[in-house]
Amino acid sequence: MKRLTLIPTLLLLAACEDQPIPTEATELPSLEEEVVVIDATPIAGGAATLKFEIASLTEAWGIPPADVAAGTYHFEAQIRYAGPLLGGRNAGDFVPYLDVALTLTNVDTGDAFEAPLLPVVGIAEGWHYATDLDLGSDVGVSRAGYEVGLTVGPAQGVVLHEDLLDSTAGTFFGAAPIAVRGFFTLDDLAAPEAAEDEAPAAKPKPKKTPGGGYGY
Amino acid sequence: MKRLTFALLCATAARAEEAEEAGGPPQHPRTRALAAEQVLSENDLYGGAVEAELEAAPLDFTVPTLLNGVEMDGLADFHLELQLRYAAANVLGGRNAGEFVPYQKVHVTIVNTTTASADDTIEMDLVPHAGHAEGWHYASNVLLPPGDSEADPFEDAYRVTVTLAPAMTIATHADASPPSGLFARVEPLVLFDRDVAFGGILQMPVGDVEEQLDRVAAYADILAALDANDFSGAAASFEASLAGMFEGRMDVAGYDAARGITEAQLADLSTNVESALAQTGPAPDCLTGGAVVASECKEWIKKGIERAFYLSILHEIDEARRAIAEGALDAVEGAAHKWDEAWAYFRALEATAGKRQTNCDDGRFGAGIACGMEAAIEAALLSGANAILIGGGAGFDAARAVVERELLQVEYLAVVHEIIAMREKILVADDAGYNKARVEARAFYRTIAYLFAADDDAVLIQAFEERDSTTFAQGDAVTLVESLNATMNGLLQADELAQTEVIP
Repeated sequence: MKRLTLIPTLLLLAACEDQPIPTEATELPSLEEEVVVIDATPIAGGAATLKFEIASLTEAWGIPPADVAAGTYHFEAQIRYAGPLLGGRNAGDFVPYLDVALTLTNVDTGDAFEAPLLPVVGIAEGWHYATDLDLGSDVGVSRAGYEVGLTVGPAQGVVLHEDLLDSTAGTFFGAAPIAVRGFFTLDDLAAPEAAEDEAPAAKPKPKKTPGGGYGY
Repeated sequence: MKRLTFALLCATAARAEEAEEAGGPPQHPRTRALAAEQVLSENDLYGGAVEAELEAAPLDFTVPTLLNGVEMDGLADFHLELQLRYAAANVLGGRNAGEFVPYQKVHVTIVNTTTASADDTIEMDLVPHAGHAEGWHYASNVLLPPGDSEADPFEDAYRVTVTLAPAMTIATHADASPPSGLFARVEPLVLFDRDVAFGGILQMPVGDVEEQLDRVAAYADILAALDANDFSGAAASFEASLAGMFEGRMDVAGYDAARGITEAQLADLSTNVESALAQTGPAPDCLTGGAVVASECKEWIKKGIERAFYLSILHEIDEARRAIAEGALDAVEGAAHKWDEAWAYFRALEATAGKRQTNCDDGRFGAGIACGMEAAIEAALLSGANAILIGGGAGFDAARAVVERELLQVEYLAVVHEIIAMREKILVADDAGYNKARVEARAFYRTIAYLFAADDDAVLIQAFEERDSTTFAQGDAVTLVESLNATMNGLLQADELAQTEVIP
């Protein structure tokens, strides 16, 4: 499926005081293509990357489009090693056992909705963290768009070997969760190609691997 | 059932305090270091998509420090870990070959079968660990039952069962449905269910090989007698201790049929040695023109006996393979004992292996030649014994291959060395030296002659039986080495073979 890069992919916490641009869209569109909200951005001191996407339930679960409730989407975070660091063996390896939480904030109302992203697996997408949300009922329609907040921390029950203990600060094994932010509008979901055209520094579309996944 | 008694806690705490006061890390009173990581099993799972390796590793400090009732530092016996990794890219959710397979529940049951007490059983889950060196894996430190400070856990045998199942039902995308057993809860997969001697075998033999070592000692007695030119004493030792072994080695049923060893090839095994002990042959050596050439007789006795030990090692390797196939792994009559016997018989050859390593020089062989045959064989014998502990498998096959290959290299180096020596002696007009080298080459060659095709064999035999040194030209030596190499190419690597241009 064609994938798009929509907006400058990462807005750091400190930079989030910028006012979002109001849009005309007020309806929750059906997704025909997977939408990349945050492109692969370095986290954990560059040891890994985080990518945040919104996909249709048809793509994720094979549910016929007619049976998908309007405004219900599959929100997923790809968190993958950038190299043989912190327990990873290869660039592109999934980083498992993380506590990943998603917060969507309705910019119109200021209401925020938080949900955990849980491990999900697919052949094309590989292992990732994801959840399904009804944007309309869970967060509410927002003409001004949605702020995306992701926090990444270690899950309970993971044991660390001694040779890793000095390398945990600032990583997903550290004490403080990693925070990543992004932003999308209903226009981005409804007309991703147009949004892509407007994106000031759209990145090249990733190439698909033979197995259907993306080559990291 | 987890067994961590109050007494043990007190003992370990006291020991920990003592160790800390002494400046070292805390350690369980009975803990001893594993020699190395002990691989218990290697499995291909899910149609080869996933590789699993279960191993007992030396302890490592981890955080948190208490898991499964066991301190995760020195206060346990070892670190039991399962490496579960994708075997290829883009299969079952994996992106890369070698990537960790997450979200699995790895359950372990360890029963002490030596004490056979129902109390001496522990159960635990191996939990996700991360480290720089080991990457992600499932693991736990283990204090073997009974967990008291008096027992030596490495003296006991344990039944270890490891099962694998998803830790939870994983949501699977449409393209991964129906879900693999990696993702959906099904009956746990039994990954490992075998008897284990933790700590592994640190030295051989595992069991009793007194009878075999007596034969090796008899060979030493024969060598000593020969050094004293006491042929009758050597013959008496041979008849008393080795004649029976020779008879057994001449039975082709004692070898795997795939070796292609025939009765004809074994027919001279005893007679070569017996005639040399009687100083009558084998013709045309040892007794020639009515005169005994003692040095040639001795070479035939030594090499002939070592040939029997060489064949004995092959025989015991084949016996071990059969026993493994039948599931008989014990060190009394099973595979471990057969392997022990191979180890014992190598005692008769280790001196030759060590000596012939020194023939692996002067640029006589290809750049790929490795000359540490003796150490390689010893290491492979130990590795094979540990592989038998876990049922043989690929580990045993690898060890067996190394032993056979390195033994073959010993004999090959010896034959090549003696062919070159034949030419060197000719160049200094040393006819006796030529014939001693020729007899050595001929006798060493007999050990590996069964591997050769008839045409190469004929070339080699004809040359080795020629006592007249004046007829053996450089080109003849080159032809001999080429005949050797024709068969060795394939059994050894091409870049290990002798270089004919160095023949004088």
